[in-house]
Amino acid sequence: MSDDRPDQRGQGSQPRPEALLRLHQVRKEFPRRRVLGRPARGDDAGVLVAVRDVSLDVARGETLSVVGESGSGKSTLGRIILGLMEPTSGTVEFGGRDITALRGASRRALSRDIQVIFQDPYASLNPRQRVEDVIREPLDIHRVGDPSGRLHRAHELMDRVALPARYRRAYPHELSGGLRQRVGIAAALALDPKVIVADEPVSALDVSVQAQILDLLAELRQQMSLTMVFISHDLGVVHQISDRVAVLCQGELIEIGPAEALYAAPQHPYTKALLSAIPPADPAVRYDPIAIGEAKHVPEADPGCRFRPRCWLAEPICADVAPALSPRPSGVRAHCHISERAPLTIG
Amino acid sequence: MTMLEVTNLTVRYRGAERLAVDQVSFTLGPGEVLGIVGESGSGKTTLAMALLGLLPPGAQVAGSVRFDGQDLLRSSEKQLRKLRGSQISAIMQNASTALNPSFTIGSQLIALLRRHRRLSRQQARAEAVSWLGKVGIPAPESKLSFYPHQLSGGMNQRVVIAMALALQPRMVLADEPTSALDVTVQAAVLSLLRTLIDDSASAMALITHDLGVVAQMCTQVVVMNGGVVVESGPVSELFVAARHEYTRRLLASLPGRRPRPSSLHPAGGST
Amino acid sequence: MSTLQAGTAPAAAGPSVPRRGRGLLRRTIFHNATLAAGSLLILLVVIIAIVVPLVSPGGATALHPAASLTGPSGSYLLGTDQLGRDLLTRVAAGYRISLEVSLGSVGLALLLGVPLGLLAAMGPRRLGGMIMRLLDVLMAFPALLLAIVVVAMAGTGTGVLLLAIGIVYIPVVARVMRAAALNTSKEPFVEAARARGATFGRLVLRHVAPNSLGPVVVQASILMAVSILLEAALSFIGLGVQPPTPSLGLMLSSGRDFMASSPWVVADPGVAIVIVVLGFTLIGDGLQDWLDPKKRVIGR
Repeated sequence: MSDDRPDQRGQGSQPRPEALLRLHQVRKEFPRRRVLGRPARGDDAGVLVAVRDVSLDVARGETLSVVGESGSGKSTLGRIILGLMEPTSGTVEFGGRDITALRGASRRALSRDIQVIFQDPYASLNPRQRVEDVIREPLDIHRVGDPSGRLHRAHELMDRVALPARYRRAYPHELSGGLRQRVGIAAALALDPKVIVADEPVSALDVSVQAQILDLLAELRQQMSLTMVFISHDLGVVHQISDRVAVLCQGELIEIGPAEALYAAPQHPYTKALLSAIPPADPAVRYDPIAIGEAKHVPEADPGCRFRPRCWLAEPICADVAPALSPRPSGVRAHCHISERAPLTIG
Repeated sequence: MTMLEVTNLTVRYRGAERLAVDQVSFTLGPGEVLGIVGESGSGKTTLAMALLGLLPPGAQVAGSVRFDGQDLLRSSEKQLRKLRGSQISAIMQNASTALNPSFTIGSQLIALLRRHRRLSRQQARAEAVSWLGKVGIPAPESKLSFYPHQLSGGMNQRVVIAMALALQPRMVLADEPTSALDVTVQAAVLSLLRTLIDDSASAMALITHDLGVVAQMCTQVVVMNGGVVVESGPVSELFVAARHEYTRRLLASLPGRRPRPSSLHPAGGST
Repeated sequence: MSTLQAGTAPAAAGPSVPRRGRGLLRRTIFHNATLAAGSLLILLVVIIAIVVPLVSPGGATALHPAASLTGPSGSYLLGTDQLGRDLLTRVAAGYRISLEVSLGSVGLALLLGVPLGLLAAMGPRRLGGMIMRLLDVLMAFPALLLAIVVVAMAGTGTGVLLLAIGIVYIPVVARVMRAAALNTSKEPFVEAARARGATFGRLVLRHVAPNSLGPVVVQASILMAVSILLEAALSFIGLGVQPPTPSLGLMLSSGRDFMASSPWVVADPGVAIVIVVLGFTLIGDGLQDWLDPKKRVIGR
């Protein structure tokens, strides 16, 4: 599914050769619980579709950011990639191998290749484990080398993420948020994974600390040739670090493409609205966010575009036919009839 | 005389080594929107609590917070209660916890209106509906009987804003009012807040860590770090010619202002 | 709302996390007044239980008919009962029994209750469901009744008493353990460990259990207090410890008839019970205070 080679647009879907991670039509449904007294939500009160038939791939060495607001399904998608959650349907492939159905020991073995950095630095570390033990644990679990070697490696990793040696035997509560997040990063790197899924790794940090951590991640990615899936709600943050960006809206992948192209000329109205909503840190720049309403539930049976109720560009076709993710001249692919006809202009 | 005059405010929590707020001074006049910028540990929340008279018992306070000449720090709880809601109101970060989950939003809004103004139940109800409409809640009449958990975070925050502005206070204190919201919802709420503040001539003290919000919402700004005001002045000045090193560091860490690493993976077509 | 950090380092995440440096005692036993008071009371009880019998071995059952029903005096610090036995030594011996029974029964309840609770929380849903239903049935019996049934089947004596009370408390411990473990299992750090490939055993033993034992410890200390009362009650009605072995409950029961004329015969064991029960209850309360408000780190 080539999406960002301008010379290949218009050709049939060809999987990009270096795709390390591939998601194909991943769908996740949760049974919806009816609470007595609450108004029933229309005809499909049975399920909540958190992730709706998402297909994307990540090439070796690239950083794909998955961006979306709450309810977009991005965290669910992250968990599915990590194997912490099973998709209702669809497949996840890693290195050409279908890993969706893996369980138990084989799934655990996979954790050597796919690792995670969590959002909340305050809650993602065991309060009873010292820093060096946290970092060493993945090595212990997978019996890498010998015990003394593992400790040594843990210390090495601490150096790598610029964690001062005096924190080796410290407990998490003795560290600030930024330092704790470094511990999380070191632990994620311990097994020399091929892919790192970072789930909102800087959202809980102060602004100045965010910058440091992002720089650290960029550096590490460079040094270790990591492939990264960076999940975030903050389009501003991911701009720095992404090669490609995928935008999710209410479970659907609505736009995906090279970061520069997407930021410069978004081809889906939602992406446009999302970008316009970021208040510019310059009083001279006019702040004119495009008004889209809050997320509304769209019935399963709806044949058209699910963003239509919130879209200011909607036309009759949008109500009758669901769009498909199709390429645009700029290199992005977008899920929209309007921009298919004529690319959305800036502003 | 300015409406709000904070002079050398100093706060130390019971048992704490260092000062939470250290000799902070600033003023706020009618119609102004003051941004209070700081990260965690900067003292901005303590400042907010001091302004509302909600510091925990045992906190040592020095300096003065004068609202229309009356020192809030030395006022009795009774006097403060008269001010709260009608003269000084607050918008907190997490709307869903600021509202009582056991009562409908209608009853909470109506109760507030009736407590401070002599309105009949009918009148209060009509006011409530009008305000819900003003803050952009669709079908406001029907929403009166909704409970907070039945509405989204954005909607709840709008209700909180309605409650904060319904009594037309002279000053609104907003502590990270949009931090917990999605960016598109934040945009809508900020626009709303801006419009309402402009229309009402209330003053607003807006506490935030987001410099973008400051740039777009505020006229004046005060930057705090470690309990101390490190910089203050008109917003335009701050962004163009920040004087203090901390402010410059904050500005420098904004996403848009850092260079994109040049050697990114050349994923077929991207730079 | 972003919160303020007092001081330069964030507040402690929980008291059971060892802190480096001095003030260890102040951070643990003497953390708050309640805990300190309870600990001191229990210390007193333990000292009495150990020291007194050393000073007068065999004194608990030694009869001094000439000195029967004498009030507290120089030679008999707490007075004597109707058979002339020194009440101080009897109380001390009674304390030993009480402590044995309470430690033993609570120990049994923990030994079985903790693993059951952990299994119910972390294991397969259906297994957990079955365990809890079984325990529900056990809990449906009033403690005293259940204890009586066990004693009726297995006879009397300290060992049986221990078993009976222990069995009654297993469901209580399991329930608390399960709730705490369930909560902890949802924490991000547990998920992180799972994502790093941790096996079930490691998740439970290294991540979930250590971080959810707090409520269990509090519950255990309260159970210590209640078990002493239960033992006293059972002995009182004759189903517990048998005479002449002194148990505080037994002393209460046999002293009933002399209450009016020689109140110390009943007051001594009565107050003794109050002291030890109060001690454990205060420890339980103190532990609860210790664990609760500092549970979450204050941060951004």
